[in-house]
Amino acid sequence: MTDAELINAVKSGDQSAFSEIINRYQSQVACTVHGMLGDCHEADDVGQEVFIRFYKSIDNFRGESQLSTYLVRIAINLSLNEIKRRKRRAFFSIDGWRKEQQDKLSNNLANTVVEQREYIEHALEQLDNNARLVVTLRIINGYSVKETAEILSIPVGTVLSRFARAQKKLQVLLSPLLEE
Amino acid sequence: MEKQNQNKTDEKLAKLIKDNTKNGFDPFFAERVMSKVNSQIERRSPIDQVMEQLLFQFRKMALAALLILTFLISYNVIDEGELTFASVLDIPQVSLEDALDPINYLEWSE
Repeated sequence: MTDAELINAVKSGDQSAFSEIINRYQSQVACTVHGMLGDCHEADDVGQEVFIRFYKSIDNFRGESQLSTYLVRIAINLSLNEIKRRKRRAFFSIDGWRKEQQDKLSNNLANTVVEQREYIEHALEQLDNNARLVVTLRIINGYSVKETAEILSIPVGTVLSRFARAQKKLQVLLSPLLEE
Repeated sequence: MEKQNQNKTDEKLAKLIKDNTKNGFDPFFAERVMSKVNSQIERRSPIDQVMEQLLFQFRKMALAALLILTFLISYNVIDEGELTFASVLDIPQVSLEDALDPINYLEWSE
């Protein structure tokens, strides 16, 4: 079934068609959300919210962009909201303590796979949101420069410059792992 | 040579990041989303449901209403033979004197 057929089926009340949409695109949404937020329980909540939002606004989807692009855009917006919420929470909660632990972790060379993953997540957190978005879409989602520019509604040149800057920064932050 | 090394480093960096990022959610993700969707549908208040139905019905009638409105405006304009605000809405022409004349007022109130 094509995306358009699935969407029409959902509009006429077929819930199994919506399950099919979730199964088809959850991987792309997961890449975006995990790239932006890291591997945490909030990522799963944001992922669920992406599809719930889409379900609620399915009548507004006109098919002008691809369904995957539309879902990734929702994922980006919700991830950015979650990052803002995190920053607010970090003032008072144990998130500050968590960050301290991550800093300690990043000072030691990552030995195990889990540590390596956290080390990389921490390096990605050091990037500003714009740079992190470009890295997520280009490297983790595997979109081309042109597709990334379309999703973020920015010029191709801006994608290239942001990506180049982010790569430089990441190469410094992840140098212990790259030199292995 | 330097460019080649840079490309290799970029590739290594991309592979490192990609290999260490989860590309899926925990098992039964679709089921969890569907159960949330269903619970939200059930939790909708009756007022929301009525409003949604009203909106849906009005949307269906909007085109018909627009056609009727266009017909009425055209009829009024052709009937009056001029295109003015009053002719479009078929408002009777009443002068200020007529409107303020107490005799007219007494006649109307009877």
